[in-house]
Amino acid sequence: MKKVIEFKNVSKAYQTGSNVTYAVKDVSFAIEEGEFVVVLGPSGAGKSTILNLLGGMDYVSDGEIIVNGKKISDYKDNQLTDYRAEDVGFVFQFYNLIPSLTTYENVNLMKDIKKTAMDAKEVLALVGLKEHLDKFPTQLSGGEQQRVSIARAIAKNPTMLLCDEPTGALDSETGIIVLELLQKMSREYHKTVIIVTHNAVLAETADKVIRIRNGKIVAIEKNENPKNISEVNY
Amino acid sequence: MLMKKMIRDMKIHKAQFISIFLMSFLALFIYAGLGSETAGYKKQLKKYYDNTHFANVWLYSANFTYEDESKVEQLDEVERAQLRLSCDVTVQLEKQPTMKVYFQSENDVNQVYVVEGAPFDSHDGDGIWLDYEFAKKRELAVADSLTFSISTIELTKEIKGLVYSPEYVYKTCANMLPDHYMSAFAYLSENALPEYIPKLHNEIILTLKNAEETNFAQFEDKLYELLPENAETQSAGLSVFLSRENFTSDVVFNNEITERESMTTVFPIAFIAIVLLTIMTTMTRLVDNQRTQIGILKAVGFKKGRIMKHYLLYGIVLTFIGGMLGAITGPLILPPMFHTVMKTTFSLPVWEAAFPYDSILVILVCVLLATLITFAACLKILREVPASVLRPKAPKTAKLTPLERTDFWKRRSFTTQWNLRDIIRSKVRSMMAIVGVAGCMGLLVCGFACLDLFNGLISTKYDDICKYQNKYTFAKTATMEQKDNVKQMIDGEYVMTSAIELKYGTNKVTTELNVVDDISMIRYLDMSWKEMQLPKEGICITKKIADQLGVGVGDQVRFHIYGDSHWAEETVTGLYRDPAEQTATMSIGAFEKLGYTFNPTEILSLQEKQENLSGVTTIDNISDSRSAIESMLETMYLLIGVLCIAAALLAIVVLYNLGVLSLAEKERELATLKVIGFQAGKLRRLLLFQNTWLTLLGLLPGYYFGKYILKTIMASMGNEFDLQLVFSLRSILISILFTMAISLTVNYVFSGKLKKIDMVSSLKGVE
Repeated sequence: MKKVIEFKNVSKAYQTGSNVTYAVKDVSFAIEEGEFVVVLGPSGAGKSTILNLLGGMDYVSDGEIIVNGKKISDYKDNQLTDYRAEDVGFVFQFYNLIPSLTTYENVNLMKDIKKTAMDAKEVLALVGLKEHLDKFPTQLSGGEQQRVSIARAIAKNPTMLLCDEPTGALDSETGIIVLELLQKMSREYHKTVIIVTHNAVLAETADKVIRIRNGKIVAIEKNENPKNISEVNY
Repeated sequence: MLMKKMIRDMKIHKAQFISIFLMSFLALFIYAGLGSETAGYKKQLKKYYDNTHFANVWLYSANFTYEDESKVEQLDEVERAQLRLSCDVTVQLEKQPTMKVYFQSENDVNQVYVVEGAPFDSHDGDGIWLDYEFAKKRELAVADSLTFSISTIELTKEIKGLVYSPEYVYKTCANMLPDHYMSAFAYLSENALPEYIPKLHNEIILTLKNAEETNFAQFEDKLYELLPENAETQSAGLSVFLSRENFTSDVVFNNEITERESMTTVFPIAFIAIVLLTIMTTMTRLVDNQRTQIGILKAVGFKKGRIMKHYLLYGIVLTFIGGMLGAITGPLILPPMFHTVMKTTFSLPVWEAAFPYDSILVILVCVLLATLITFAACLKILREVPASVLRPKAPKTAKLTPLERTDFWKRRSFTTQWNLRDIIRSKVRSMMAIVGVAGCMGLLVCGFACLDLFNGLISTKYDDICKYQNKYTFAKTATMEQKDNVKQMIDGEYVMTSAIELKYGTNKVTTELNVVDDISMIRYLDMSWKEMQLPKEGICITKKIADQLGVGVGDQVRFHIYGDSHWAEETVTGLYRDPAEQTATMSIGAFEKLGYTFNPTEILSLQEKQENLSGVTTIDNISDSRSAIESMLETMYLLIGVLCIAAALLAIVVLYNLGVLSLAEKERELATLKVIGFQAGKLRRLLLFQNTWLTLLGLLPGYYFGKYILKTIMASMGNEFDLQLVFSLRSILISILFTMAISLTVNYVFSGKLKKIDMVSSLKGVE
């Protein structure tokens, strides 16, 4: 399989006064196309930093990040914006939909960013929301809002889906629906899906698990036979 | 502790709180500043009039006797009466200025206010009490001697005092600005008149015991009955009755005060409206944001009243402090600025502002309204139980409006959809932006239109109406032979002007009647300011006078010339317009048909000025008059400068404030858009779009607002002016460009802030 993402000795340091603290230090890993990856760690371990760096929202202090052969760790502000528009589909814990736009418009918005974005209706049908095109975010349940957010992420056909605690604000039942959707994206549509979470149960469902603690990688495990979401005791 | 919280909160929301403070400061600064100016005039004028026993009524005749005076004095209504003799004289100084002199044997009414020298002595036959302003211009001092001539008699007197007179707060003059160099007044004892001059007292001036409750029409009739022509006593009888309401000096000054007052009320209303809008948006948002904090305060046991008091204090403290500061500094700073301008036109012994006590009331009203608005904003939250307040506020639910279901809507771009929804959902904020822009635009339109108005006045008066170069005024004593000589020498056209009183029913107007024949150097303009010919028959009057009298073409009016008690009747045959002077005009033929004789008082000429013509007292050069008025425009420029600054400040404060508000509200959304991959430029355009639309929406109401202010100002400008309200395209364009420029500049400042939005932190949990 082709490597789409590569972290090479990546460090991120924060300077507070004369103290230098490392959020992540010397992290290296690779992710292949279509993989379903879980980045696992307790809070404060450096998960969010990895997500921010990979999502092009922050700069590395040291090391290289290569996505699709592009060295994004060298990118400037504007290039990073383009990178986010082109390659990254974000799914946030709190959905972050635009409250003044309808479901359809929230997804259709991607056409403004990427000309080749998929048709919003089609994508919304894919996540099972074609009945709710004209509703505003506030009229939807949390699970539905998260599915809109996933639809928005995949609409622009990104290199990866980057999900930050995507079920963090959901109850277990709707959480399962959302996770199944994400797994389906990876298995059936060969999307690279990266989920950043502290929920250890998800590890069993992933193709690859990257465990981090105190800013360092503790282990990278490959599951030969990942479980279906419905099989795990979520 | 809550006090500390308030101060910290204010630091966080400093832009809003500074603008609340600034706006209430500005509102009161202008209100109290201009208010103290007008209140000061009123107070000073009353004091001045009371102390000098300024007359309520002037009676004119060819000759009044001492009996006439005592008859008047014995009337129940009359407090004091005084006989005097007035005449126009020529002063033997360079350019021969004219001077009105009053000879009197008493000093009861219209006492002079002595600035320098001795108090007025009604027995001192050697002294003259001279116009202070004239003396200043001519560099004359007490103890200097002054020579003047009454027709052929020359008199020389010693200046005993330099004085102001309540009759000369405004000195009537040919141009709008009084010319203290060329005109003067003076008061003398009757003993100053040589024995051989017959003492023909032509005036009785009187004060009333209770002027407010006197019915002047009845009083006038009573006096006409009381003072008939009497050959036996040699009394010529009453010919003119003039009350203070029609006395030019008082009328002009009072008009000026009213004009100021109308400005004083219009401007601060705009600022106060903005204070209230800012408080409303800021407090609603603050209280919403601090919902959880309010819940905590409630949960730990603070009473509702306490929390409410805490939030009410924000608005109260700021509006009160801002307002007080404005009310204190305004009267200190603004009146002196205006006094320097006013001094060129009016003469008052004391220029002092008076504190306008109603500004305290205005502050209280502001504070009260601010309190009510904050109260309304807090009430909703305080009503909920602590448990529910601790949870984040349920977001507003929304439904698609029919418009949003149309294909038209769906085809709009994201920018349009997003902005339109944002405008619709934050109605108050959008309204406020529109009001702010409208205020800015209104002030500018008003300022520039004022300029247009005056430029229009000047060009109509001096380009369209007056075609002559010089106007020569004949001496009263000039013979017809002298006049005809002058006419030949300068190839001029005769005009006879005389003051008349026009009556229609009970309405009456004092004005000037011009008698002319086939005149080419004065043009007449019709209702739409186009040149026209006046009919030869009957009497023609300006539109403004026709409006005041309530007459139209074909109506019969009555008039009499001042100094002549005979009333003539004539038909109005034409109406014309004049922007600066309201007059009546007749042809010589029509005038003589009524039994009068044509005796020219002025002559107009196209030729260069010729000095020292025998029989001529004054020469008015048209370009001198024009530049005198144009110099008044310089003060206008200053005022417009102030207006522009106020307008800019208004727009900047409002738009900046709203920018901060909306940026804070939309931070999360904007961060999301940024993360998803919107370029900064695109986000900037997103915000610019809304700003631009709201600005555009504010322009039209702003235009009407400006027009309204201008109309209010014009309505209070007095009866002498008949101005055409024109808004030149140039002025409107400048106003629009200026407003747009401010709006865009503020927007540009915000694009900097957009870059600073922290994507990572603003995407984390809900507050």
